[in-house]
Amino acid sequence: MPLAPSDFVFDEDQALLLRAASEFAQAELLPLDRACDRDDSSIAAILPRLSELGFLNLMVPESLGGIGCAYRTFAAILHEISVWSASASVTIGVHNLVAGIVAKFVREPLRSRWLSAWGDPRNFAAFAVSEANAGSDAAGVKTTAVEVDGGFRVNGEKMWVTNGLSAGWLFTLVRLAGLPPDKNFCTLMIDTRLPGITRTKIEGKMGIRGSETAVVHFADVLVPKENLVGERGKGLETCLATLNQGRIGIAAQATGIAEACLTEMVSYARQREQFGRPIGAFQAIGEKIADSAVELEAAKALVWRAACAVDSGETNRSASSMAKLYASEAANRIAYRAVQVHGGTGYVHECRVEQLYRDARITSIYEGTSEIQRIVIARELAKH
Amino acid sequence: MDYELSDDLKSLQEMARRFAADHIAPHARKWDREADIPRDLVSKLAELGFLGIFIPTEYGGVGLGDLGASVIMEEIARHCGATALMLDAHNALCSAHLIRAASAEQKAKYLPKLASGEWLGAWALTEPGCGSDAAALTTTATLDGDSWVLNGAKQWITNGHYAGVYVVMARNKPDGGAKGISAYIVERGTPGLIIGPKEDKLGMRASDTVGLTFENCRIPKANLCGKLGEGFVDAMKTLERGRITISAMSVGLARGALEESLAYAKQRTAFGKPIFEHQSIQFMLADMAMEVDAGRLLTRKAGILSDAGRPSNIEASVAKLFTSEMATRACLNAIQVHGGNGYTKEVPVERYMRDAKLCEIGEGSSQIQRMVIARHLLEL
Repeated sequence: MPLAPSDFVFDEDQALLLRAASEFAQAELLPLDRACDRDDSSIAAILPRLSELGFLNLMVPESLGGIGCAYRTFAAILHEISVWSASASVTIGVHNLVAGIVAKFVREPLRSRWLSAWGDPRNFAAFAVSEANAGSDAAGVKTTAVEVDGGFRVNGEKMWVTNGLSAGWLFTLVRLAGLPPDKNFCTLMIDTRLPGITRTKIEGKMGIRGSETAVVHFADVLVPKENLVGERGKGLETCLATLNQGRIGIAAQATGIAEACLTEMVSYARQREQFGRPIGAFQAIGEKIADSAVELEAAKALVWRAACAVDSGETNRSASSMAKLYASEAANRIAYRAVQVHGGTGYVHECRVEQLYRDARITSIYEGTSEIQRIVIARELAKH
Repeated sequence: MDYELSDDLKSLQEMARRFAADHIAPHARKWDREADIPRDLVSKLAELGFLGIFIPTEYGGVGLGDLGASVIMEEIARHCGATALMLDAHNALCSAHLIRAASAEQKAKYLPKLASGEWLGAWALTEPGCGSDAAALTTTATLDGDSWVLNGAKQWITNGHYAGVYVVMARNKPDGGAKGISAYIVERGTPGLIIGPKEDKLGMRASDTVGLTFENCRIPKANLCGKLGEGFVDAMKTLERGRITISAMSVGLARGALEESLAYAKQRTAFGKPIFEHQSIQFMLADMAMEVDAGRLLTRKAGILSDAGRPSNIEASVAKLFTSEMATRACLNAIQVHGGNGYTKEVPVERYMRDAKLCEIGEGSSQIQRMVIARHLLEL
C-alpha cells in the first residue's frame, strides 16, 4: 500500500518506480534482511544490486545520470522498501540524503563530479555527526579540524554512524580551530580511504541489525581543502538544513514498518482460530487492527504533507518533525499490538513481527529523538 | 494529492473564520448556559450560504463538496461546537439525504427552504431502543389509502425542536430487516408528530436535541423519500459521508483547545518563566498541535476522495474515529494546561471538552467505527 494518499497521485513513471521498488524489496531485500537480523551482519552486500536498479542516486538529476525523483516519490520509495526491510530503507535513505547535501552545498565542478558518480557503490555515503557525548546536543561535538597546508587535519571520534563501515564518504561535522567557539562548526566530506581513519562496528543492536552502525575514529586525517561543504562556521546550519529531509525519511521508514505489522496482524487474525472462530472475529482483536490502521493512515498523511512541502520549496520544520514524531511512536504502538495479536508466536524470531517490534524501536530515537521533535514543534508553535 | 486548499476555499475559510470570531465567539458561552442558539444567528448563517452547503445552486444552495464543507465546519466549531452540530445535522444529514434520495418534486419543494434558512432540517434514525444497531428500529410506516401512517419514537434528534422538516426512517415491512426500512419526509405541524422537550445535555448544549413521538402521524403518500425499502441504505450512505463533516467539527474543537492553551501558556508564569517554557506543558502542546494537523489531513483526504467520486467510506471512518478521540484528548489537556482556571466556565476549554465528547458518540460511535474498519481489513 503506497505512502501516497491515493493512487491518482503519481504519474505512470513514478507508479512504475514504486511498484518496482516494492517487488524488488519483497523478492530480494526481505530474505537478506532476515539473514542480517539473525547474524548481525550488514545489508551493504546488496549495494551493487541497489546501484544497478537506481536506488543509490534517486534524487540526482537525470542530467547527472540519476533518476531525478521528486522528494515525495523518494519518501514513497523509502516507505515501500521499509515494508520489507527497515535496514535497507535507512541505508538507502542516508546515502541519498548526503547526495542532497552535495547538491545543495558543494560548488562546481566538484558538485557535478561527485553527483554523477553517486550511483557507484564506492561512493556509498554516511552521516558522521553524533559523538559519544553529543547526540541531541549536537553543538557539543568535539571532533576538531585544524587548517594546515593542503587541507584540514581532523582528529576525534564519531559514533552511531549509519553506513559507516562500508561508506566511501563521511559527511562530518567538526569544530574548526581558530574560529570563536560558538561559531566554529564546519562540515567536511571525508574520503574513507584517507590514512588515519579507523572504523569499528557497533555490535548487538536491538533492531535494524542489517543497517551498519559504526564508531569512526580520526587520527590526523588530512582532508583536502576543497572538501569543505558550505561555509566555514556554518556547519551546524548545514547539518540542520538536512535534518528536515532526513526526518521525513525516517518517518517513511516507520510507516513501512507499521504497514508490515498491520499486514501481518490482519493475515494472522484471519487464519488463527480459537473458540471456534478466527480471532479477528473478536472485537478485542478487531479493535487493535482498526486502531493500527487509523494510526498508520494518520502517519502517512503527515509524512505525505511534509514531503510535499519539501517539493514545493518551503522549509516546514514543524511538518517534518510532526511526521517523524507521530510515525515513529505510532510504529512502536502498532508493532506492540502486532506481537500481542500473534500471541506466543509473536515472541519468537521465526515470526516476522518479533523483528519488526525490535526494528521499530530505533525510529523514535535516531534522527532526532521524540523529545527533540517536540521541542522543534513547540518552537514553531511559539511563533504564532 | 496535495492537502493545500485552492484559492477559492482559502477565501471561504477566511470568511468563515472572521464570521465565527466576530459573531460566534463572543456569545458561545452564553448560548451554552442558556441552552439555545438565537434565531438571528441562524439567519446570518443562512446569508453566508452555510445552510445550503451541499444544496445545488439551482435550489438556492452553494453546491460545495465535502472538502468545502469541512473547511466551514472547522471554523465554526473552533468557537462553538453546538452551532457546528446544528449545521451538521441540517446540511450533512437532512439536506444530504434529500439530495441523495428525494424526487425532483420533493427537492424543489424542500431544498430552497432549507438553503434559505426558512426551515431548519432534522434527520431521525435513532430510537430509544436502538442507536448503533440502527437496523433494529421499530418505528412503523403503514400505507393507508393515500397516506403513510407513522407510529413510534425517535431519540437524540438534533434540530428537532426548531426543524421545519424531518427525514424519518421507519419500517414499512415488519419482518424485512434493513430492507424493510424506508425514509419519509415529515413536516413540522403534522398532526401526530409530537416534539419532546429539549434534552439537558453535558455538552453541545445550545444545540437542541429532542425525542420525537409519532402517534398515527399521517403524511401524504408522496412523502416517501427515495425507493421503498431503500431508506436504510440511503441513511447509511448519508451517515458515512456525514462522518467527514463531523471530523471537521472535532478538528475545530481541538484547534480551539490548542489555540487557547498556547495563548494561556505564553503568558502564565510559574517558577520564573512562562509555563510554555516548561517541557511538561510544552510537550503537551506539541502533541496537541501534531494531532490537530493529523486529524485535519485525514479529514481533508476523505473529503478530497469523496469529492472526486472515489471510494471514501473507510477514510471517512478513519477520520471520524481519529479526530473525535484526539479532540477529547486535546480538550482534556487544554483544561490541564489552564490549571484551576481550566476548571471554571470563565475560560472556554471546559465547554470545548464537553462539546467534543459528543463526537465520539454520535454519527457512529468509536466502537462502530472500529468495527467498520476492522471488517474492511479482515474481510471476515
